[in-house]
Amino acid sequence: MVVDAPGGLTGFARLLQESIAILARESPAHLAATRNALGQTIVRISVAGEAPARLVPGRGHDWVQAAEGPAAVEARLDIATLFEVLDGALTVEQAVRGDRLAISGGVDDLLRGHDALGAWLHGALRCPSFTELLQRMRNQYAAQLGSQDRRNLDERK
Amino acid sequence: MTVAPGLDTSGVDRAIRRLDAIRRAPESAPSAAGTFKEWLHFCVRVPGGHVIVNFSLLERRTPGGLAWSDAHLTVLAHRQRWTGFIRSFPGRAVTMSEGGLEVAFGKSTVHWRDGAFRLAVADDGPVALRLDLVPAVMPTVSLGVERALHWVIVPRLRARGTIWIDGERYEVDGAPAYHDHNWGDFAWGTDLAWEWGFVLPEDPACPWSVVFSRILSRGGRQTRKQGTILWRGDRYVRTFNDDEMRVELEGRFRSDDARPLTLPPACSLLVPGRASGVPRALALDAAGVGDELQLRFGTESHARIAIPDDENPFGMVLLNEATGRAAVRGRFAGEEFAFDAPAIVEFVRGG
Repeated sequence: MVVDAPGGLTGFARLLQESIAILARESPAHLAATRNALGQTIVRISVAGEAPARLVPGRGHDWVQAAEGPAAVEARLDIATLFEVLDGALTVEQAVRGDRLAISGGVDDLLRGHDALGAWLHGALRCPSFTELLQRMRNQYAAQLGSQDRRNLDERK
Repeated sequence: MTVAPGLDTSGVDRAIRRLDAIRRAPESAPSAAGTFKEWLHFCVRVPGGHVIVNFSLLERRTPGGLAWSDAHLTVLAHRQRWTGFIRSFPGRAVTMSEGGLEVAFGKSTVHWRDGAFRLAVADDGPVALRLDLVPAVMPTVSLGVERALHWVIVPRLRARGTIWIDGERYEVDGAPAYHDHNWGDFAWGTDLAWEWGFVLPEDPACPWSVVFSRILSRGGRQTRKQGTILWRGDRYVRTFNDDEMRVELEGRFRSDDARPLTLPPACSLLVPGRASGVPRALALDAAGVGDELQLRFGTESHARIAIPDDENPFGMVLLNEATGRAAVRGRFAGEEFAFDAPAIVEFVRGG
């Protein structure tokens, strides 16, 4: 199922927006918890080679912007690292220590981001549409990854 | 098969078809409580380890009220390390007919046919297999009432076929295996936990098989119900119930080197630590009416399956699959026995 995403979003930004829309539709309580955790904190996630995704929590579910702009928390990583973290092969701590994930921000904002990630994940685990979204994400990026990364992903699917 | 030379195979066939049949099809109307669960579980000994295969159908409901049937296949293999996957299947890819034993989740299947479970896990993941599992004992059934967990156990089968783990191929012929089938209407995250395990001797000539289970309060401090079941050859011979048995958990198991494999993998972010309620050792002592049984299990490794709590939208329940060795000794009807073997104990804990 393709969830409506605002125009102009591509790549990871579009998938992230779709995940927010799924939460809004299938588990609004988790979207509300994610919003409450973030408060006014804006998070920008930059996946290598793509336009940054700027997460601006709001009342509706159009949270993701592709535009540049200020953000209290900044996260930079490549797509292979993102999959390794999602697949449990790498912890966030290992990714940071290994210089594969750069996170910056004030302590309060970082903690808000951490709590929001937890709320989002609890929602993702409970929404039936996330399985398809994750599979589509794997398919979308499989061609972009190197052969070793692709093999690793295939093994963990 | 040495353990059950006189097994009534037509009786086993009738019993499996009647007792082990699927209770609820995925397209059924939602149950009243919306928490019906059913799964078929298989565990097979491979050289140096085990493979676990679980076909599961869970009624799920989001906090927003969306209800659906979640069909997922969990496959775990342990040799030097754990590997495996959990995969969900859309309704169109699931066959699970009420009253039958013909199950397909995509290309992974289990059928009861010609006196054997025909088990196949498709070759699109780190573990694949094609096995025939022939019961060596009659099934045993434990039925509860209303919102309870019902249980059909075939504690001992012999497995024959091929298993691929991380690309390595293993042929098994007569490998010890275990099967059970659970169903019931209960919510994960309520005041419920359990500990359950089985020990099958490596020597096929050793006729004894042991399964135990304990239903506990969420924190594990109170035992609601417990039992240890003993089979000799193809026959169920004894259950040590409740007051006849005592279990002591010793220490806390922590793997030395790495975090345990956690499925689904993203749940590692929610349960990032290494410890998750698995003891270093379990000691079970049972005795009554002249019979007795002692079981000592030492944990060597574990993997975790994380399940969303049905009650708390931000809670998880962890099914810890612990492998290790178990030493069993006892006496039944004046006959003494002792054996030790690889074993699996499942420790379910609220997250």
